[in-house]
Amino acid sequence: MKFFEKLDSLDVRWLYLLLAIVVTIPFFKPFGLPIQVDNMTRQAFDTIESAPPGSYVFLSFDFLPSTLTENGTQAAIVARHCFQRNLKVLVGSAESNNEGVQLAQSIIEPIAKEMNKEYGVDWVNLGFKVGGGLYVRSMIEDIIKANADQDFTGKKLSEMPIMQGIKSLKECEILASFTSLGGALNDFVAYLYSEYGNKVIAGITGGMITQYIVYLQSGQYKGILGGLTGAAQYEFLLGKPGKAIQGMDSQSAAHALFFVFVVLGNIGFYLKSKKRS
Amino acid sequence: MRRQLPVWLGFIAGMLVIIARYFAFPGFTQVQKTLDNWAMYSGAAAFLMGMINLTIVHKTNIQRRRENWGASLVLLIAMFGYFIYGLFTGPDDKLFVSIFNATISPLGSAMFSLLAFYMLSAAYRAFRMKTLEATILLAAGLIGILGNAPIGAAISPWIPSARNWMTEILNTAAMRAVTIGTALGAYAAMVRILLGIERSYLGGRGD
Repeated sequence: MKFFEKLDSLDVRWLYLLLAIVVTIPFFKPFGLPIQVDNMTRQAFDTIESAPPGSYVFLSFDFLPSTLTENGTQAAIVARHCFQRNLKVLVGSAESNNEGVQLAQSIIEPIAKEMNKEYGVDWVNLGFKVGGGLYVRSMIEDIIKANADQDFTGKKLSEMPIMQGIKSLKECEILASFTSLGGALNDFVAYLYSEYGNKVIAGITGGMITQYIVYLQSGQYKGILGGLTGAAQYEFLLGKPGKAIQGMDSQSAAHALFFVFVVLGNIGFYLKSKKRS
Repeated sequence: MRRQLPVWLGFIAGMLVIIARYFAFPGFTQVQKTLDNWAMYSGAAAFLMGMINLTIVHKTNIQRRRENWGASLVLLIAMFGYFIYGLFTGPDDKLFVSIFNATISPLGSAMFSLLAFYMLSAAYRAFRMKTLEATILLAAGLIGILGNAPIGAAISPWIPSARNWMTEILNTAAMRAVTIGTALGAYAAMVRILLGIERSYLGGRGD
């Protein structure tokens, strides 16, 4: 009983320290827990895997640096898969997120270099444009016009080889949004999936799964990557372990600590109530 | 007139877009595209308005030496410094990117990761089996926590299966109802705005 009384009056900073230690240890000494792939991630993987080489994919970076760990790792592994499948990659932010397109450049550029993919030929960053859903609608009309014929750095889109094979966003085989906000996914479903049957993949944070899984079951999404777990499962499927798989042990350790403390807290609560009664 | 004109403009613009969307008459489609473009330009202008507003607010803070006026000064220097530097160098400049990667990214990530610490503390102190409902919630929460990381499967393959069942069956049933309800609510709000019943967007009291 004394143990639980002490635990109950424990300074919260000890909890914080314990969590920090528990999260850090696996980075130095990984546990190597096996990764189980769920249906959501497998569908996303199969959708990219079945896209014909040379077809176009729009990767929308609709997240802020706060969820870089989750959405950034998802985007990185999906982009790698697209390049591996020789798909043409258009990068932008359908949710008009200026930080997203900046992050996109930092994430995609090194992967493209590593895989010998040329900017303007195999991929392009369309840059930041305002409008959100309206921007998506104008790209359905004409991608180059909607982007004022300028890419991320102000170069002419119309002179790039990658833009010679596509005019409208509806010609994209797959549209994926990596998001902590969700708006672009709604636009993709409303304006592209519903009207033209484009395939939509959602890269969302762990906390958004419960809200967005309904669209997977209805067939409006062709796959979901949920949080860091989804990214780790995708890395596992692609056979390219990276930051997400590395982070899984930390996530496991943190979740186990949550479990232990919730159980301990409840045992203490039960003993206290028994003593009182 | 000051109230009637914006309401009529809103009604006409809204109806044009709705008709163009549902009936796709060629003339209406062109009008819709024009309205879309106007809305995008307005969005771009809003960024400038935001910047002007921030400048006025913080300039006043500095002039009147209000509390934390130094922070206002830092904000203005950072905002205009980064803005002007970016204007001349472009978004792919190494220093421009480095400043972003070295400040915005880690600060944003740090703020978000703080959640984990608060959640642990809150879960430990507040997640109690006080009632039957709370016990069910607690059990579901614990299965969710363990099932969403490889440790769940390592303990028992039953845990991820239970978590998937909860997410795909129990959650979906409730979430569909919420989603459809929200959509109907949004539809009702749209009709109220179009008909001028809801006028709070005009900046008044909505009467």
